[in-house]
Amino acid sequence: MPVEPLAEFELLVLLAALHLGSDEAYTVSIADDIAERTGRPVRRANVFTTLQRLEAKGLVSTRLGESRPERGGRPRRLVVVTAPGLASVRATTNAIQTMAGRVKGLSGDTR
Amino acid sequence: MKPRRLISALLRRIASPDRVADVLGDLEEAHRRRVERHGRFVAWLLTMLEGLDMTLAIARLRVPRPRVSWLDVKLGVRMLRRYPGLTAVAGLALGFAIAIGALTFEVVTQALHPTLPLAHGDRLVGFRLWNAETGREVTPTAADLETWRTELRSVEHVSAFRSFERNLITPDGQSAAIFVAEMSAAAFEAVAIPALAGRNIIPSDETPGAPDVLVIGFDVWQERFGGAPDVVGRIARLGAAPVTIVGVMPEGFAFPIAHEAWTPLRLEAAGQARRDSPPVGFIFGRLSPGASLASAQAEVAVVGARVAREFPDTHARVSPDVLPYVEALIDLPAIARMALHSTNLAAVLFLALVAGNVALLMFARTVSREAELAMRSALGASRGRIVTQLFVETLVLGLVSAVAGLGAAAVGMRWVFRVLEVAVDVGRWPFWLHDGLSPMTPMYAVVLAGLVALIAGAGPAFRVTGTAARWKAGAASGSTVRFGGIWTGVIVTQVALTVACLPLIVDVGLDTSRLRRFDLNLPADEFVTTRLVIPDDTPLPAGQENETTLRARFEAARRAMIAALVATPGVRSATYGSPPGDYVPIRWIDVEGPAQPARSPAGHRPQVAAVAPGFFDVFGGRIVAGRDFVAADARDDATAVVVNQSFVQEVLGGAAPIGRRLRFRHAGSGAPAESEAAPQPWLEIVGVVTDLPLAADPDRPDGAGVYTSVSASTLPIDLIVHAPEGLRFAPRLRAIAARVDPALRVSTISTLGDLVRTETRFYAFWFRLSLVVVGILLLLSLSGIYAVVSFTVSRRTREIGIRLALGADRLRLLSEVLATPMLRVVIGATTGAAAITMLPLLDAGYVAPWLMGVIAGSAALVVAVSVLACAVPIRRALRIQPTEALRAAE
Repeated sequence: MPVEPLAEFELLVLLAALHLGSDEAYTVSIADDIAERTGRPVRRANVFTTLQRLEAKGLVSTRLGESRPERGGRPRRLVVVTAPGLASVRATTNAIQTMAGRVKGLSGDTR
Repeated sequence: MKPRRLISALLRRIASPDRVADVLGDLEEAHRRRVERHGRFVAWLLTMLEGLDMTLAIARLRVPRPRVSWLDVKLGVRMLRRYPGLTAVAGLALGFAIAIGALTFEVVTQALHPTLPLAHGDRLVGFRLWNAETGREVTPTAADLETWRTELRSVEHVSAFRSFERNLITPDGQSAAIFVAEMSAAAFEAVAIPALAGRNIIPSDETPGAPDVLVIGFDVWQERFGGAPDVVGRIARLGAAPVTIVGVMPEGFAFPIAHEAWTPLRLEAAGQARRDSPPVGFIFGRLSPGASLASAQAEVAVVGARVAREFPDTHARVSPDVLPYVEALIDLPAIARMALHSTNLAAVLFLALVAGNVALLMFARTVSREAELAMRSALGASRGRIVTQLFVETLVLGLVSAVAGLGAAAVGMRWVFRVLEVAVDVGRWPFWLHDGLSPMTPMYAVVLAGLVALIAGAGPAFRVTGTAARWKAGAASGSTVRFGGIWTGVIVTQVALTVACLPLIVDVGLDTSRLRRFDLNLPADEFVTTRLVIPDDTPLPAGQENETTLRARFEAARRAMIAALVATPGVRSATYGSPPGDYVPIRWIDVEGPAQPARSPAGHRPQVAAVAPGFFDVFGGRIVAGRDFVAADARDDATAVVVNQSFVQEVLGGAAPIGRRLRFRHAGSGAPAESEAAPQPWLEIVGVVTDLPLAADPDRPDGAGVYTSVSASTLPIDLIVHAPEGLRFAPRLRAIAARVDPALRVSTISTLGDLVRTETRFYAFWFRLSLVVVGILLLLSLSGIYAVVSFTVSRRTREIGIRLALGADRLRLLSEVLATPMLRVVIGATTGAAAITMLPLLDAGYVAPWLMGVIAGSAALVVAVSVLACAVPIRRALRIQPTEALRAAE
């Protein structure tokens, strides 16, 4: 099965979802995670539409969590990275590391 | 209102309930955090913005991404062939509308954003000085030129020019006025165009006391010197001053505006220049390599501030600006700019109107393909896909029309130039204006084609595919698609426009026909006419520089001209006055004592011409009562007027005219403005002359004419010479003028026949253009009505068939089918007739009975032709068989 190539923001969203785990990854937490770790502002609207796109491609699946008072009694839509999604993350990060590794003086910056 | 509630309302329109819950949950969570951090107000604001952002993002997800394939394009081409009638009507209308749009865009582009056809045209800049105190522009002086030339680094080749018109008298004695630029040598370096023969103006020519030199343009070289290869070095006279021709510029060179020859601009030496020195006209230059308009403006501002400090008496409130060359040279008023933009907008709206009508036809066609579209939908084509296909089909039609429209616009541009040359006597055009199309115009035409496709393709497609859900549910037949209010409006507007335009075209047609029959009753091509003037800027001998001297000189030249002409073999007579067949004003008058009632309630409005003593004799006129003008009538305060026999009949009712008095109601010839509304002095009728032809203007209300005497101070003045050799006499006329006074300027020489033919051509042009416009409007209206009726019949096939089978009355059935479309036609026709009736009412206060007849006839004609347009669908309706109707229902 061919691996779906990822755009940069799609990769960040998937990495954040993997980092947060299937019980904590949803739009708000993913946006916060990316903003916190990359130091750049993230629009939740972008995260929302990216998740929709990834779901349409079969790279993530979603399920509803429990109702939360801080969400006005609404549940979170939790994100689970699927096996194809994980394969895409691996392929994309490998490609980046391979390419970056060939550039002198850059390896230290690509952690 | 809580932001979540507003966002929720928006979201529910575009997203599924579970997605709405997701987004609202996210917003709620983020909002609570914000309230803790920023307080309620800021949190409200931020959450509202984020909510809108989310809504837009989701909306974007829902917009189908257009996927255009070659198949769509091929299908579009096939549709053009499959519906030839629709292709012809829509293509013609759209082509015309796009031509109008492209033409308007070209005119606006050339007027507002011209491209200079020079190697460094985009880097030429001009300087303007503004006085902040008076709010007016200040003419720069030689000192300003010197300052900017020596101090500016961001602008190089800083130059100036002044314009004047002067007679160029060639060695063979021929004299004709040319438009000369007194220009800095540096200007030739700024434009970087070398002379074709000889040399340009060089810096040493600018030195006071240097030999007088002249560089001539290509046309002057060809026309005045016959393209003589040895023209360089010849000596000619510019007015009275001898000049040596040192160079010939290449064909088409007319820098700085529309100049035909160039002399050096001689100014005082730098050290002697004063702040109050004479003006230098216009200063310009070229941006230095690496400099921009902004950097030049910054540098000029610094220099301007320093000059203001050093010369506070003259420059304290004066600040300089650097602008693109044409913008600096021609200060187009804001109202003119707005008018140009409005014209462009009007052209786009006209295209939208035409596209709206084509949409009507497309809609009817799309509905007729409903089964095909339903099939495609059932096979999985999305609504976006079908809309894209219909959009591309119309785009193909739009692009084909754009190509035709561009061709028409290219022809139209040449027409516009020719018409303007005739209508406003432009003479020579500024060198950056051209009668072709700029590279941007084809791109604009493509944009217009896209607009057409949106209105006429995507619009109907969205409407028809709105039934997609029904198609998917298997209800492909019996569509409930109907014509909407917009298209009703389109039809009504077009019928109204057609009815309004028909009387105009009849009027223009009658005018053209009258003009073709206009006869001067004399051998018009034996009479040559020209305008004489001694320009204000003519150098006079020292100590005589005043206007009185100039006028006295002109008056002497006028008398000498007539004397010299009548003494010339081959000349039968010569006089001054308004040339018969040329424009003369019509003016409102008041008559003392009893007068005939005028056709217009506002009063009598005869034609008014100024003539010299002996004018009537030249044209075979005869004084039938009183006397002709005499020399004493040429005084500025003279009150004598001569009227023609038509005036005596139409205005005075045949009563004895001599000694009666009349006065012009106001100074101008148009509607009275406040400033010129004061009645003019009373004038006394001293003579009656037989009717002579006046203006070749078919709009004149009657043949009544009033002649005033040309005054001694009239400047310029029209000269008319009866010379049987016609235009061949022109060179001798110029030579005589040059002998009488080298400064006497002779403008274009033409025959009276030429004047009338020019006027006739002008009207014929408008007639043809009006015919095309009205023809297209009529065609569109009729095709629109046809589409409506045809559509109605096809929608009601089953009902009509069954009712016919059950013995329904055919006439009643017909009236039902036709009621709605014909109501639209009648509303449109009534509106158009009412609108066009208002025009003469507002202008002259009454509507001529013949015009009322034409308006009523136009309305009746459009209604009648509309009924005819319904003939084909009506015939189809009446032939519907019950079996056919039942099959359609299956």
